[in-house]
Amino acid sequence: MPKHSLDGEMLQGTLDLLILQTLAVGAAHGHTIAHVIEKRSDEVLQVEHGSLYPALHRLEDRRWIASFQGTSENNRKAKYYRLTPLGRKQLAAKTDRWARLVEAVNRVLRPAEE
Amino acid sequence: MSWLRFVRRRRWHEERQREILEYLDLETDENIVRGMHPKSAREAAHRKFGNRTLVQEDIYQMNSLNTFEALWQDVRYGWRLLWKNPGITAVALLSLALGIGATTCMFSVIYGVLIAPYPYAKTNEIWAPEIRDAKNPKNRRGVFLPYEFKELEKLPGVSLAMGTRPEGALLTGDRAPETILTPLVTPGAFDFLGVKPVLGRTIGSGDWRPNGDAEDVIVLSYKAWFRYFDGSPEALGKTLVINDRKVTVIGVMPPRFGWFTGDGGWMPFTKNPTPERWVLPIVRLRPGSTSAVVTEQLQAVESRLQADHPSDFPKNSSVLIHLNNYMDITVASGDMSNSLMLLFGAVGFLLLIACANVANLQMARATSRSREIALRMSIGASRRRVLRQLLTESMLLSVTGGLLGVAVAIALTKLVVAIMPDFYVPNEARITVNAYALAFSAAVSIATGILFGLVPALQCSRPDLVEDLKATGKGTSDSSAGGKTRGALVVVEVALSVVLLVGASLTIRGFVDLQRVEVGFNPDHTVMVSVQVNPKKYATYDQRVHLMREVLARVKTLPGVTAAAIGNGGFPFGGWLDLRDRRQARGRFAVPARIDG
Repeated sequence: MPKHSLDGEMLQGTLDLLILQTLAVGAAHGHTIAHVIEKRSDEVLQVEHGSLYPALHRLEDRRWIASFQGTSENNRKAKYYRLTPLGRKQLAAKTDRWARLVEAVNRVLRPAEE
Repeated sequence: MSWLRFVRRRRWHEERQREILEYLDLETDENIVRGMHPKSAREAAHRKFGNRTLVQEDIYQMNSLNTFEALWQDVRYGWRLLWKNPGITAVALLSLALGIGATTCMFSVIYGVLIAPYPYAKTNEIWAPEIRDAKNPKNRRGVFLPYEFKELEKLPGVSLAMGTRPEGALLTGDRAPETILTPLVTPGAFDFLGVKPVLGRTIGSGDWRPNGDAEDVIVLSYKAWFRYFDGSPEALGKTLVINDRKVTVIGVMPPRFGWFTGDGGWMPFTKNPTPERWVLPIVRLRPGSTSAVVTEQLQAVESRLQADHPSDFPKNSSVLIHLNNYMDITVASGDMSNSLMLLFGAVGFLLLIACANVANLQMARATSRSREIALRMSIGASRRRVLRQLLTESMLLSVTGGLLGVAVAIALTKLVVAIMPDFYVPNEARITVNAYALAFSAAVSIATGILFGLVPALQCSRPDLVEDLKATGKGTSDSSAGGKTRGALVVVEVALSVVLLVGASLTIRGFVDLQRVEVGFNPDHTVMVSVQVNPKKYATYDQRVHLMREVLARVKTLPGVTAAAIGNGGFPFGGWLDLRDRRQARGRFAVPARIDG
């Protein structure tokens, strides 16, 4: 399985979308978000976990997510992120756009496959 | 992205670092749980995370205001370079400080004297009508007789008119008698001028009795307020004895208000003047009206009045009306404004010379830096970046020079105010280095920085990389384009200096000539004293003539006086010249006397 770098090869907005989706379930810290994205994609999206942090920073700056101090499962201090109402709206909009994009790309690709 | 991030960057940075460490700790923990050795668990965590420095730099960059950062870098670098060459820097700063200082000072003077000399509302919309003899336009008068002023007020194109009658009066009471200037003003004058008093009120419609006579009230000038009442607020309601009448003080004007007097006071002018009591009128135009329209209207009125009162007008000739804008007839227009403009041009040249000087110094320095610049460009610095750096350096120099220049300007302006002849400057004018002058010098410094920075910057941001890198010594050769530009700068400098020198010598020549003007008499050892006559005590002309003869006789007997004469008005020394009204004997007589010695 080829390794996909989330911030490089994939579309810029995709990582944002994945983070927002992960946080839609509930608050989480960076480590969890990275692992969740990896697992839920059946390890297809092998992320350099570090690339997540600039994205988190960007999203927080746009006020789509907010951070708070919490304690991790194994009792360590950690910075948690949660979705803001603005982020929830963005998630809906971006999911929508993503679905349409995928559909459109598929429609273009299908005849070639047949 | 908000710029606030930039301010909070350090805190952000620490927080991110903590967060990344949190990640590494968590991942290490998990790896250990999976059975890894603690050391390799940590290494695995680092691998999983990727390049930490890169991530941190990414975030750092996100929070940067790149342009400003680069600017700050350039400024710091520029400072270091300037410090390294203290000699060149000092010379450059000195010439800039002098150039900018002199220009700012001249600007302050011009602003104070020519651009905004008056505190009055919209002075540039005030017009002063003038009546000229059509056959001999030099024969003209700005004074209006009472019946003329009445018509002027009623002109359809005029929204407001006011008349001023400059008069002096005798101030007595429980103090030594002295002359006080008390310009008389028509109703609405203070509304017309639009200046608020600092104390009390101005002259209003209630200061005329129903029969039109003026009440005995006075609005004091700021100086008079201090002179007679020590600036006490108690002055309101107090009385002064002026021309033997008790006159009540009703208000005090601010220091800059100097309508026809800077140290006297203003009193209402009766609505029933005797026919010879003229006023100096000024008008404001009705919206939509123009000076041409009003000129025409007034022309028609005056032509009619000439038919009714032929004795008050030139014989066998018609009159021409001319409207002067008030800004064009200040005491500073004419000689003063010419010399100011000349001086302004001169200091402008001075500034240009300073610019050329500094540009030359910069060129010399830039040439010796061509290797540095070539090196930077060869390892990828863009031309824009290098250009910006060089411009930043010259800006740094010029802004510092500008700051020093402001200090020079403040000192120079004080000096100029001290030596300037005050009869050439409206007494309302205030000459200070104000916000406008500061804005002006800021603009000048920036323009200067660009002016002397651009040429050398353009010159060396286009270097022949290979040649410059090959050259071992610094300052390659003078046959290069840099050398030519420097030669051109020297030529400009010399040319400007010559122009300036010629201009300066001509100005001095003119000044010397002015000192030698033939006044028609020998002013050496001559003094003039004006005498204020109390109109109540000396009611008839016979009494006044008698008094004057007495004064003259006694002055002649004074030891040291060799000759004395007496007259009124029209003297080389002043008095109000009024060609029409030969009976102007209300007050002032002048006694010139020759003193032995």
